[in-house]
Amino acid sequence: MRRFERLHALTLAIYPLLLMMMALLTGHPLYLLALFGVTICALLTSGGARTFLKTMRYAWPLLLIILALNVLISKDGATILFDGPRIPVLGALRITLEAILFGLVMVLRLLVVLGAGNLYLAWLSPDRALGLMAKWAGRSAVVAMLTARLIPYLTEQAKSVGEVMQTRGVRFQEGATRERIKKHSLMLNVLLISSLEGSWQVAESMEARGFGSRHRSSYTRERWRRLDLLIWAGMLAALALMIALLSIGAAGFDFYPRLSPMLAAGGWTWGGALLLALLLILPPVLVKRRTD
Amino acid sequence: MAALELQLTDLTYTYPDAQSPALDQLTWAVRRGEFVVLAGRSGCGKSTLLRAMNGLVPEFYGGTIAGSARFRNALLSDFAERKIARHIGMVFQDPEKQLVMSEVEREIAFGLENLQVPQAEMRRRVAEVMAFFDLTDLRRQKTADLSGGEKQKVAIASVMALQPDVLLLDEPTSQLDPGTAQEILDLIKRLNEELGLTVILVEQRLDRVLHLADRVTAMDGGRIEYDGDPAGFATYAAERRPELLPPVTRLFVAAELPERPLTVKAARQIVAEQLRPEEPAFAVERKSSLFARLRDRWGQKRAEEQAALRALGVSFAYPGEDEVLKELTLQIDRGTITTILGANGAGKSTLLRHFIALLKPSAGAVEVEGRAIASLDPADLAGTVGYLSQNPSDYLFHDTLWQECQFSREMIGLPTEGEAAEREISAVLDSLGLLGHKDRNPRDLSGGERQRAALAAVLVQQPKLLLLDEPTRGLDAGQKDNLGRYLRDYVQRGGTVVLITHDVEFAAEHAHFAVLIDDGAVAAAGTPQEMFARGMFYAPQIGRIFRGVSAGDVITLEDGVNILTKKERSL
Repeated sequence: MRRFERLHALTLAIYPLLLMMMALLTGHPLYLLALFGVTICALLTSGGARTFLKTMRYAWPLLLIILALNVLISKDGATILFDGPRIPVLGALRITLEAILFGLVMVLRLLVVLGAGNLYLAWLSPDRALGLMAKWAGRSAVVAMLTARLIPYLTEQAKSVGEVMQTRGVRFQEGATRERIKKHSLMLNVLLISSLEGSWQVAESMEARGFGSRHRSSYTRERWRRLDLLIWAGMLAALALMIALLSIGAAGFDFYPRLSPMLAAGGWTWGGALLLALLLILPPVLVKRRTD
Repeated sequence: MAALELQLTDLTYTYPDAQSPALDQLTWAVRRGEFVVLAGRSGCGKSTLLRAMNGLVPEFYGGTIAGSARFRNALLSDFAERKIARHIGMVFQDPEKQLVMSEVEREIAFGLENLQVPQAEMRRRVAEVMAFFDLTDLRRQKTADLSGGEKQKVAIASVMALQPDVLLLDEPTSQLDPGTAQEILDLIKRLNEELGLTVILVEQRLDRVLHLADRVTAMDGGRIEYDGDPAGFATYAAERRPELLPPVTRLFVAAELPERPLTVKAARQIVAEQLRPEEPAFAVERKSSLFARLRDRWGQKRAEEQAALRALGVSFAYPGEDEVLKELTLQIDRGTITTILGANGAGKSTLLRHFIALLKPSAGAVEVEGRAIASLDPADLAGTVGYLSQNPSDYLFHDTLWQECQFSREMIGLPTEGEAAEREISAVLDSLGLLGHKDRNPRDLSGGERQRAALAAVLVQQPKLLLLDEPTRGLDAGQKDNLGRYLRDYVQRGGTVVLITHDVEFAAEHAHFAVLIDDGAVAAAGTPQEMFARGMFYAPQIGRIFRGVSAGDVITLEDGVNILTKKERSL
């Protein structure tokens, strides 16, 4: 993760957000495909592709449900592919081309959002993300960081408490569900008492280092560099372009009742999509080039 | 006279809900640049005194306070909003519980942020401190991934980033192994000598710090009993608080000699003057007898029925990591105390956890009382093997100590009510000196008592075998002696003890056997005499005094006293 430290955390945080925002602004399949392509490229260059695939392992049923529900429920489309009997709750089963396409576009949109989310995680360590927050959130950021630090500590403690209980004769895996819950609640009990006790010591050490004064400053090693400027310029240009394309109707798309033509604004549509993709691919490419 | 840094006048402090004051009309001062060691038994008030000097008492703890505490003539209570943290820093005992941030660099900056130091100044100080403490390579590390020693170093660094004038340290090395502890103490010494920092240090192992101190202050019952130079402290402790004496001085007191040396070096000089140096007997000369004994005790021929625990060619690796144990073979006989020594990460705890079936060997076999553990659950061994982990608090979660003991018995089907059960529980509590605390919440007990409470919760299951993981950590000398006596008694009654310790003194005094584990295998094993008399690094202080001076195997206080008094008699 260290190689991303050449860029300001805000730059790294904003870019995925920009991708998400774009995906929500446009419903045009061509534009969404372009955004998806950019997201995948960015993930591939930053090593986030693997976690994205992992996310997909859990997310695909959700995407499928979204697609299925849209296809089954939406009855607005004009191009009927299948007209079936009435089904309770869902009403008349009518599958239309528009609904299928709309569902697919929704899925594509979600893929971009999920991909951008993964990119955010790949680019920004929790510490840097919280550090960004600290500037504005002050003490609540400290609490968040403290929590983040305590999680690995608690996991370890839970393990050792569980082991100690086993050596005292507690059999966690035996007995009816109720009994097992009771045994596990014993373990939680120890953890809770120990955490409360530990929190006293942590609080004391924080107070000894001056925590509790009304205001705090915030330490950051984030620095703005020329590369950041370049990327911000690219991002702003992309945003301006998107707004312009939306306002002339080149990036919009209607599904119902009938699909609008793919290239409604002619060259503006495909040219705009291409230009947008080029502008958006710039940041990940710069990140990659400068850090290698 | 140098300017006064800290000044306490008639300070009396009582914790909330406490009956008697923890500090009793204390008048005391510390000069600029001084290195003061605070000594005393657990609970004598030294930690409270430390906290009174940076205002945590009473600001953080509440309670009632009378008298005054001043820093450079300004009352501590006049420093608003913890501004005193700028001048007086404090480092605590448990490295785990004083780190707040998840990254080293942020941790160091934490105090600076609290004191609203501007960004540019923060960067400079963080960089300086990291360079001084040699932490630059660790700056991006997760604090959770650091070793105990590194954590403590980061804790000190994060306090030092505030550029305080005074550093208060509350047993900063008690949770660390000896090597790391020495590293931390050397660092503190550097801070005092190179930066002119005033240091006030509370430490259990006085032998590690007395030679660093300009002044020693001994407390008892919230009052100061001794306040003066280290040499005078030795004389005072010899007369009034022998349990505070470092082993070296203890030897001379026990041998009724007039000298009161504080360090091994000083003691060696005295001993060397009085005893004619003898050529050390090389192992070769004693080879036959030593070898015979070794073969007797540790060889293949030993009767297997004697074995309480056996590890046969045990290998083990945690998932995705290198092997920790490498074909380790070891037999532990019934009715013995065996100490396992070795560096951090050598595999000591991993081995111990095999003996209670918490871990199963990936190759080889482990037998407990003749049963192979491969198919056993740790719970199957409860009642046969008692296991005390490094953290006694993990054992304590009932409202009273008595209930804690009942829970242990209930888990393995022993009676918890009735005369016989009560007699058995009472006997265990009594033997550990805890009977008076049986209705108290075990979490309200002090560190040493807690450890005994956890031990009690294990012992009421009447195990034949005891496995203890670093039981001496954080105990003061008196508590350690008590533990040693208790274990010897337990063994006399037919028990077997295996314990991991870094405390060579404890091993030398109390163990029958010592095993040195290195790189996942047994590097050496034998009686403490065989193991420690010739070792240079794994040697108790008493042994070091007589190394090269006396030919005999001197490792315990008794051995030392014998030699010194024999010499007296021969004169």
